[in-house]
Amino acid sequence: MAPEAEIAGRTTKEGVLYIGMDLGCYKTSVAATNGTREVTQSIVGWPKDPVSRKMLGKDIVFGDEAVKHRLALDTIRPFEKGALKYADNAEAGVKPERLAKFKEAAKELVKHVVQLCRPPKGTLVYGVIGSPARASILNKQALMDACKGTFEAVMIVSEPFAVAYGTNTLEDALIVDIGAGTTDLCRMHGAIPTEEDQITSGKAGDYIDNMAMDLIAKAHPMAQFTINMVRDAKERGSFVNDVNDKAMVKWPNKEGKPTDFDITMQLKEACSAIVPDIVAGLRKLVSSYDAEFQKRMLQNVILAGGGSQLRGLDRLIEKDLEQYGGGKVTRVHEPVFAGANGALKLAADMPEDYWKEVK
Amino acid sequence: MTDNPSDPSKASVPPEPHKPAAPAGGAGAKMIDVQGMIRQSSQRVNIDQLVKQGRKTISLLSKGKMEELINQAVKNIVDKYRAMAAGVAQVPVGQIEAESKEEFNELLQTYQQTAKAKEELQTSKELLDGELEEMRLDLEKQKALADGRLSEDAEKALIVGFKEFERELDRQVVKVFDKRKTILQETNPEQVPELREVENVIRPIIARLVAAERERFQMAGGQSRETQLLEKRMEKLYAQINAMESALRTISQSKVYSNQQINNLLRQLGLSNEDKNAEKKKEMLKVVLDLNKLVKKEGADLAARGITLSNPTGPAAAPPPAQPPANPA
Repeated sequence: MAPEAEIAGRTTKEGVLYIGMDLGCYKTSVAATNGTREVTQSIVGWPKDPVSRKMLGKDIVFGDEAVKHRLALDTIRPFEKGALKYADNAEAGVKPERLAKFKEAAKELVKHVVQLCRPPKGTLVYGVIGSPARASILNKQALMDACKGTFEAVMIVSEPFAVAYGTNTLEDALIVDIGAGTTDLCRMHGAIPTEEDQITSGKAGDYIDNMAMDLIAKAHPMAQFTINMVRDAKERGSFVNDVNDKAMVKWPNKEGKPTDFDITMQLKEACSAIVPDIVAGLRKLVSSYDAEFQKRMLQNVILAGGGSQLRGLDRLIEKDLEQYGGGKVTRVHEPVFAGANGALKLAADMPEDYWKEVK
Repeated sequence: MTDNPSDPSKASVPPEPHKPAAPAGGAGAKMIDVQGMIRQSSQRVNIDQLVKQGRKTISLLSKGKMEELINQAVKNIVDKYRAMAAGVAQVPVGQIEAESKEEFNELLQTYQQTAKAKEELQTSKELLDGELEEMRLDLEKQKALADGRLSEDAEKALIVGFKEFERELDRQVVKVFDKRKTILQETNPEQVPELREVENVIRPIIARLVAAERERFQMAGGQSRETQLLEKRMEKLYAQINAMESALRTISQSKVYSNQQINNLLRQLGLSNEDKNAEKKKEMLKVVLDLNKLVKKEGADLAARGITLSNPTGPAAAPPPAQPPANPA
């Protein structure tokens, strides 16, 4: 048990490690009160046979290592297509017999990510986990189950709310959290956002990847590439604004010869495809808000999440908002950690008594 | 800075007696022709002359900046009286002059402070960048050590040193026993075999102790070095962060930049002391707790009714919903 002492009415929190976690469909980021900040791919792999087990020297591998050796592994992305997080089995394409494996993968991933924070032995680990705005009770319960045994106590909050809390923009602000699976929009008005304050769009990072893949396949039928290669190209050279940058890739052609392909237009078109939904969502949230504060809210649009790193996205949204009287879009300082940082801030601010109530 | 020609209060601003009158209104007209005033009243001095006077450093303030500051000072005062709805015309010119001068000095001071703070920030940033690079290199080195790539040399030195020490210790032990044997042979020769037995027991014990000590030393040595380095780095980083904090605070109090912008920056950096949302956050935390308790309770209820992620609609022939378990808490 953590040593605690009541000093002048305050409780010292020695021996407690607070963790904020953003379990993403594609990447998971974590921040802890001991200064740890890590991001890893949300993928878990088990060796396919004794040979691969011997080669890897492990019974289970995670993140980049799992991606690297995926051919020798049975891999699962436990939150892919919203599985466990915001979709039911059918929606996420998870066969009922595979659900147990997905849950196990989620549990192992959470354990691994907490281990990345190196909690000292005997330390209490309290965590706040972000969940998408549209997550159901069953999804939230699944996330809590995944945390059982790793955290002493855990709480779930909506991801955009975690971002708002972390950036201290709790009033008259619109949060846009662009992840891999979903884009969550949330209206902040000085209270915990309700369902009416949140909109989720399925057009996010994965949507861009798939669309870019189709467009590139049409434009460059000679190119050989995978979705991972497209994602990599997007992360290195994605942009949506009219800039002079070129997105060039060296991919094998049909003969296997490395060839330069210009995928600028395809990437730009795919990246831009998420903007109309974001603007429509923002407009919907603003128009149903108190008319007196609508303008102020549009002046405080905050972009977060890995998808917000698309260069020029802020300007493009601002341009689209002009038809509604204009707006000011700001990108958070660390888009990838925005959710985890906010969740950590929530965890650290949470009174000790509250944790005891959810143990 | 421009005047609004349609602003009726502008007409009530009297021309200053000792200075050229402000240009007539019109789009783009300035409050005071400061550039012209500076040109007329300034004296051109050769740098060599200044050096001869013993001046080693000079402060530079551009004409544009001076104009901006003076105009800002006058505007602030005029605005003040406008706000008071007193009307500038009713205020003695001397008072306006004095207050303008005071306002100018204050603005000049804040401008200088801001410039200094910006310089400090830049320096701090460069230091932090350097420090981070140093930490990065050190981390790489430590990783290499942990991987065993660089440990050979270090360990070799440690082992060689210890081996010599062990040999010396063994020599001393042998010497002590030999000396004792010589004495015993003269005084008590029947005890010599017994002493040999003791020696055979003692020497391995000493060797084991030394080996254990070597291991402990190795570990303790590594940890202490690492800790020292970390502490040193942390001290440096704290100093830099303090400098940045101080610089940012100075900027935040400046009138020259937008306070809102600066305060937003401070908030983003987590340096803002005052949290206007503190009370709101407390309430929100309570709501978060209640929502989580509700999720747990409803999750348990749904599970009891057979509603799961794999079967979100529940069993086909759903039995009547189970009563939630009585929870005395």
